[in-house]
Amino acid sequence: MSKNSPMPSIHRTLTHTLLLGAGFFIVGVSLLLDLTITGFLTDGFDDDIFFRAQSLVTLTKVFEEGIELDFAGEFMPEFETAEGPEYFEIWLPDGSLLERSESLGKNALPTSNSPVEAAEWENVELPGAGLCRLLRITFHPQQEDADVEGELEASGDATLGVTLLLARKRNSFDQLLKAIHFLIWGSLGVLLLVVIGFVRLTLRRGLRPLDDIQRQVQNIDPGALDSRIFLQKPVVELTPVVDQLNAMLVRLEDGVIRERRFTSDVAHELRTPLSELRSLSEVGLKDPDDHEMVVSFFQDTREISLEMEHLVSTLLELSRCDGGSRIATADDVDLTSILQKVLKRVATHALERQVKVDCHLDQPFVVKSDWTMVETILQNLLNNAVSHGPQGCTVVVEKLKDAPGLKIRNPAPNLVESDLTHLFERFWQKDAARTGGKNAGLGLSLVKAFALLLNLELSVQLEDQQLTFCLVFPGT
Amino acid sequence: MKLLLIEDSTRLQRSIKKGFEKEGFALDIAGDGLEGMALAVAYDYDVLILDLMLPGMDGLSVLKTLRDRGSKIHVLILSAKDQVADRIKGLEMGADDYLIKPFDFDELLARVRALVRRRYETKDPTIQIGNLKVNTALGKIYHQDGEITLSPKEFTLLEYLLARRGRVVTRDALVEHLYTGYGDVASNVIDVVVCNLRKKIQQKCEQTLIQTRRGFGYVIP
Repeated sequence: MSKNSPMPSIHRTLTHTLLLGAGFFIVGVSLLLDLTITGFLTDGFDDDIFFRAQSLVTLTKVFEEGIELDFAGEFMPEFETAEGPEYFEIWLPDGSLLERSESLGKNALPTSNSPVEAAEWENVELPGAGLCRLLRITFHPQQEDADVEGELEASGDATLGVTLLLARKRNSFDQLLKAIHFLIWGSLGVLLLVVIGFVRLTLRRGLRPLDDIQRQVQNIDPGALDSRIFLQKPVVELTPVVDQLNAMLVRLEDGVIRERRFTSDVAHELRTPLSELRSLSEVGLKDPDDHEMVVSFFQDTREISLEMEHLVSTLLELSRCDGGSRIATADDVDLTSILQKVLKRVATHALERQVKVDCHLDQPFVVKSDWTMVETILQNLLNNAVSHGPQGCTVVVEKLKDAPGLKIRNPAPNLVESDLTHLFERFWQKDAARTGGKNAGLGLSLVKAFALLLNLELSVQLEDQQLTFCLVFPGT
Repeated sequence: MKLLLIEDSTRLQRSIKKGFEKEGFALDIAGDGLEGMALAVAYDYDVLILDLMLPGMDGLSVLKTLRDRGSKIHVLILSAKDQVADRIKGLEMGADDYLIKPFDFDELLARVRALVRRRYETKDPTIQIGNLKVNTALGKIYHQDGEITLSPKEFTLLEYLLARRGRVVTRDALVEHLYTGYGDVASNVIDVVVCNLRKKIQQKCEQTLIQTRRGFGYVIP
């Protein structure tokens, strides 16, 4: 589409198409009607003249004295007066005039009187009478039958070709034709106006739901994503579109809210370590000679750096999962070996919190999956259990009985059923207080993202205040 | 001056405590809202530095409970919540000041000092006494010959006595406002600080600035 050309409009296109279609149809029908009626009437007019000519032909006979017209004016008064409206001339084969109607007066029909093989029609202008329809035919007059008295027979003499010129005024016929034309084309104009009005009204009514949607969509404030589209009168064609559009708006709103919350959460998670770093550095600079203080601040700074690095790494992993660039491999993965490795890592933290980890896996348990990702999943699930279970609790890790997988269970006295829907949300933490440091609320989000990539069935349930994560591996 | 910091980040606790102690303040620390609430109710702090998102009991609840109990402690909220609505809410619930994390330590120090001055109703940070001029905002003391160098503890003691000028301040009250903890301070530590302070000031001929009331404590007349 070029820059300057207007955007196509359904309303305009339909209006133009329907009006042009209806217009062409109506004009075509009118034209056809006009031609048919005009033709029919003209044929009738000509037939009438022709019949009249036949009468004159019949009255023209060959007698012993020669050719004569047996014409009685009182039976055909239209030939008698100057007003006509009919005129004739009969010309003999030798070119002499046999008879001319009284209605011609001193005038002659302005056309050739030479014989013709077939009937010829023409329009001629007759002085004093105006435009006339003129028929010229050449015929052989009848003569008395030699055998039967009173019977007529066609003349056998080919030289006796008599030419009849018969004209009839056509002013009243033309007026009739004009009246018919006017009626047809006048009706056409009115019909066109009616059609235009009807088409516009119908389209306006028919396309009202579409206009309604357009208006609502235009009025949507980009900043207020809670807007929805409503059809005043649901229609079959548009209801699915509106439903889809509303579903998209819901998803968009959810996405934007999630993104805002995510940005805010990231900012918040960074604020705490940044505050710590700034405070450590500013206080440290106030007395750099206090060696003990400066060294402890450096240790804190290193810890903060490692935690921020962990936070950024997790965010990048999640981003890679979201973007589809994290590729999973399919290796033989021994879950028992991974668990032993992970348990060693959480041992210190578990000891600090006096948490006992009871692992019921001692035999190799091999599944087909991605080693690194499975290790991350188990690491995060166990970290979660050890960090958030009550001090002195027991975390249980065991095989599932009816499927190839594991379950990890820990007491969770503070969790409620509704918390389960938020567990895998990014940055969600049960306690709104951000403790900063190691727990940013991303571990379980990463578990879910990896589980999706590995086609693992990940479920969580809370029963008798025991939180249980089940991890089922696809059939191997 | 004695402060209470309720903050759950141990690293922030450590750095703020060090920073304030180096400026002569005594600073007690609580890592969660409930512990902080208990300390704020039990002791007479000059200023409370309060985080909002705390385990146990959130900062706003701590503030509300304190105000409901009639506490007039000066409260500075130190929070990562940076929205205007958060600040308005905090101030409307009775906080005296609001500082957003990450913060400049000197700004925190200046704001705390301003709250201390407000507590003792001394808007002007400069106090003239004889030939001495004490600037409580800068933590410095001047004589006509120049600055007298005091340790942070000496300055805080002087500032505290000046804030109660004309009234006798007991040794216990001085211990409570100059030192953290609750009773771990040696009994003569205040006498040592007063003695050092007198020596430094007497060199500038202000021999009778701090007077002893035997059996009671000290007073600046």
